[in-house]
Amino acid sequence: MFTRLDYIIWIGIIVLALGGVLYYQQIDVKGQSKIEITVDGEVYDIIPLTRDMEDVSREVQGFIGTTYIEISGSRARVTYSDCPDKICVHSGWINKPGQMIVCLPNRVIVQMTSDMEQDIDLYTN
Amino acid sequence: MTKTTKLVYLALLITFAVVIHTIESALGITLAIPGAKLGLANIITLLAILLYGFKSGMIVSVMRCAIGFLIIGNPFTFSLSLSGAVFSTGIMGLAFIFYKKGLINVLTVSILGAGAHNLAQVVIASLIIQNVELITFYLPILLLISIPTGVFTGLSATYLYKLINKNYMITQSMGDLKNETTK
Repeated sequence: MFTRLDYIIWIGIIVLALGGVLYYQQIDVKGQSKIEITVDGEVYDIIPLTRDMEDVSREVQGFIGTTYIEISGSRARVTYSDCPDKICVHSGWINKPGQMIVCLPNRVIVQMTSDMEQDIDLYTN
Repeated sequence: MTKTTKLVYLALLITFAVVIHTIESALGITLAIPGAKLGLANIITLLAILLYGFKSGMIVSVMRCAIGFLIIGNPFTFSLSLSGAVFSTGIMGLAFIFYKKGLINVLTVSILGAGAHNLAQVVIASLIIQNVELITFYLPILLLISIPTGVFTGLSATYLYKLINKNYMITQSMGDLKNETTK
């Protein structure tokens, strides 16, 4: 039933996807990490992450409501959001550079970046 | 007669798709990855393509999104689901040509549709939120997810298709349509 073209397409998709996932797994964690909060394409706040830092919480006014962000122990999460689907809340914690929490309806992005991948950032911009 | 039969069956397919679409979004079935969905309504789109061809599949998917928008009433979800539905139906229509020539399996058609659906949604989402990194971050995971969901929708559609092929009325409307297009 399956032809050679089937296998080529399936393996192509798997290789593409796994490559992308592994690429994000391997991003260097060294360097200064920071949490970048963006609202509607504009940077709202940048919070550098340090060891033994105190818990930080932010209330971000987004497109349709407020998004509550909590930063604790060099990881970040969205605790509450006014959006209907709550995908951002279900995303849970992020703790690696390159990871992000996206609230599409509210147009809020919480993203962890680090100095090490600054050149990649410039490239994708 | 057969034109009317086709019209009725298309309307039924649209109804099924709208119901599945609405229930799925109301349940908010989120897989392990935020934003990933089973895409159950794709079963009906694929079924429509298998039964009546690409054009009918496109009608079913666009009508499904439009009526789903009236029920759910979220313009944001509508823009995402419409872009995903149109793009994935387009890709499935292209893949269907290869399928008819026996070059690929139905499951591959379905997987390509699921992948195209995710691709379109991520691109539209990144346009809305004005962040390009969204694509590189989410697309690999969503592509990986599209394989099991694509297999699931593809299998469901083929079994439905086999069952429906036993129905005289539908096969008749299909057969006469094929004659109409060849004339």
